[in-house]
Formats: sequence, structure tokens, C-alpha cells
Amino acid sequence: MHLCLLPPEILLHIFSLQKNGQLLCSRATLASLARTCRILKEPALDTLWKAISGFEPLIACLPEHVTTTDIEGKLTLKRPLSNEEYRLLGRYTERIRYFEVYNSDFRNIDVWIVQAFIFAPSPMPLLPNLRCLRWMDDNERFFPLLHTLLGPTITWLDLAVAPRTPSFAKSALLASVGACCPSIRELHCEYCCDSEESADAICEALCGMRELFHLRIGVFNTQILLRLASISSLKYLGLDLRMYNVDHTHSHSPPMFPSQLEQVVINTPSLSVLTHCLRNIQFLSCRSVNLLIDFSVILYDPTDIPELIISLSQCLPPTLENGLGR
Amino acid sequence: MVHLVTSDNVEFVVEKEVVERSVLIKNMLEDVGESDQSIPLANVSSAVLRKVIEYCEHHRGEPLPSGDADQNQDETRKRTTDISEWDQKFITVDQEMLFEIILAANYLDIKSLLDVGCKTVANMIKGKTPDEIRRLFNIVNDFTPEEEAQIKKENEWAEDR
Repeated sequence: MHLCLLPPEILLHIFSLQKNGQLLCSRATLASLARTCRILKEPALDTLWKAISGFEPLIACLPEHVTTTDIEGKLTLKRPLSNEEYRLLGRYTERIRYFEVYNSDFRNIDVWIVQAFIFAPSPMPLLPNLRCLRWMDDNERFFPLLHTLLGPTITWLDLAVAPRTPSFAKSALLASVGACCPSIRELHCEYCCDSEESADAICEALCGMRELFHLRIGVFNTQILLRLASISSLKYLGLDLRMYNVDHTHSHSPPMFPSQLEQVVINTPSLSVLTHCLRNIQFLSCRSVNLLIDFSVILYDPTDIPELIISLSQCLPPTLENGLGR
Repeated sequence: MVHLVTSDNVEFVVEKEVVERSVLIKNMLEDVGESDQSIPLANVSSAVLRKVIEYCEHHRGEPLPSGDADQNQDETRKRTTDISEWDQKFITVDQEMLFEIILAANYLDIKSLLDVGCKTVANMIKGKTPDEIRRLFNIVNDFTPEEEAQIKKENEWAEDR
């Protein structure tokens, strides 16, 4: 018996073991394994490329004569990529399951590289097997690139496109998420600005999500709450009320959330905002509610308490198992 | 008691509680019910089964992973990599036996034993160069120098991480 005779799934298991959040076989070790022999190459590269942060690895795998550094010190391309070079890129990008981008990732690459990724000739998305995407940049110039990454294989999406100011591009992008990624199970979309435009965009995005299980959002209105209440797969709901606008959320018949909802977490800047929000939602049955109230930054008015208690009793089910306020 | 017959036709009689650490055998026993019939294990030799039974006897009574093992459980298993002192001594065997134990644990579906074996191999590999890995496991380099250089170049970004 020999290491190379182990089935690929066992080799993958060996290579992907972790200790304290780090791969036991480091990235450098995985790169070594890939050069050991043909049998170990594929599972080693699959593990190495499974989770990628930033575009640097994608650029680094291109031939040396294609890339260069411009006078500002940014990586750039000497010419458009050939089909052969896109195929080379594809041999690695098809292995990526988790991809994250921070705004710092764009500091060292120029617009030619971004365009080369956007205009990849393949009919498939740039990362065809992507499952999880974290995009932490709100520069509109890069939204076309973000859009090329959105695909039907994505089940987990963390967007911090931070539209603190309303923008057509941001709203258009948000609105397209549901249609581009219909299999999303977990969506984090916090710190949005409170505008009718972005609320409408989120509402549009939610239309396409049939399997949404876990949602954290920072902007909502009555329309969004009604939409959410109709998603039967939703189990976890996180509401960030820091951008909550009392004028955008009011309803004579509060949306009622289905019985499958297990946990609600509400982060609020004040008791009065929380009270107003709770008046506009009714949870028929949820097992756990967690209220995050930062008393260190809010003005605490004791007269808000009676109204809050009334709102809580009307909003939450009598069968609640866990209620926690901090 | 449960009767197990190995690939080299050796019969083992093992307590049910011990042998049920194997999900494969546990499911077989649940499907077949109480029976004196032997269970053939065509993929496991007697030398390997002896080691597997030793492991199962030592860990008898410990909680088993739940039946509805899902992806999250697999991810959790990947994150817990400490090997107990007893397990370390148990798995200190030659490479041939180590890989046979891993294969048997995979076939018999004994996740904790599979993890002990896999962690041991990962610990042997970590931090090594391609040449060191080849020497350690007696692997023949079947790449041309050009192929090896290309893989190195395309994955050089990983070298300093």
C-alpha cells in the first residue's frame, strides 16, 4: 500500500485538515505536493485553490511575459490575454469554491487586468464553481467584475457594497443578485443606505431567492418585510436598524413571519427605533430572539420601556424559547 | 457477538458494542437483525482488522457521530486535528499498515479512526519540499523538468503563505 494508491477523496481529506483555522498542510506544502507527482497534483491543487483571497493568485499563474508592473507599481497586462491563457486561468479558477475581495486588493492591479477578467471569453462565469463570495469593496468601477462573479452556483454571499449614498449602479447590482444567484442560502447585505431605491433593489433581489435560509440586512421597509415573510425557507433573520427610517416602515397589518423562523437578531441604535420596528412585524413562531442594544452610545429614556414591552408582547410569539437582550 | 470474516479468510468474533463503531457494520446489523451469520469483509485483511478492533475496543462507549452526518459535521472534523496520546501510540506503525488502516476505516466508515490516520499523514507531510515528500513516501517523480517548473511558477504565490 502506498500514499498514491489512496482514493482521491481521502487525499483531499488529508490535504484539507485544519488546525486552529489554518490548513495543517500549509499553502506552501500544498504547492510542494502538487509538484511531487501527477497523482498528488490534482487533489493538492484542488485544496490549494479552494479558497482564494484577492486576484493576485489569478494573475500570478499567468505566463511571465504577459504581465508587468506599471510606473505606479501596479500589476498590469502587456496585451489582451489569448484564448490559451484564458484556458490556463480556467484550469485554476474552476477549482475556486470560496473567493473574497477587499478594497485593498485593487490597489496593486490596474484597470486592464480588471477588464481582462470581465471580458473572459468563456460562456461560463469567471469562477464557474464558486460557492461562497465575500465582496468588501464599494467602488462602482469594479461592479462589472463583481457581476461576472455572480453565478447560479453561489449559495453564500457577503456583500459590503456599502451604498451609504444612493447610486443607480449599486441598486442595479443589488437588484440583479436574486436572478444571478437563485440558489443563495445565506445573504449578508448590511450597512446599506436607507433609500427607497436600495430598498426596492433588495426587494427585487429577494424575489429570485427560493432557498434563502439565513439573511442579515441593514435596510428594509414594509415591502421587504412582506417579501421576507413569504420566504418559507428563511430560518435566521438579522436586522440592523442603524439605518432604519421610521417613515419607510409602517403597515396597518404587520407582515407575519412563517413558523419556520428559528432565530431573529436585531441590532438597534435606540429603544424607540426598536419599538417602532417591532410594531411593524409579527413573528408567529420563532424559537429565539436576540436584541443587541448598545447602551454605551444611545440615549436611554426610561419612558420608552413600557411601549417597548407592549411592542415585544405583540410582535413575539408566546412560545418563544430564548429571549436575550444586550 | 458478531462474526467477521476477513479477506484472508480469518474469522473474528467481536462484541456488538465494539464492532458498531463501524457505521457500515452497524447498518448491516440493523438491516439483517440478530443473526449468527458471518459478515464478510472482502476489503480488510486480518492484520488490519486486528488493529481496527484494537482501536474500537479502546474507544468503546464514546459518542458516535450522529446518523445524519452532514457537510457541517465534515467541516468540523477537518478543523479538529489533535491526536490523543493513546491514538498516537496506536497509529505508530509502518506506512503500509498506516495506509491500510486509513483504507479500512474509510471502507468500514469509522470516521474517528479515519481522521487519526489522515492527521498522521498530514503531520508527516507538512513543511516538506517535493523531494522530501518523494523520499518519505518513495514516490517516483513522473513530471518532466519543464512540467515541474511550470507548476512551480503557476503556484509560486503560495510559497510565502
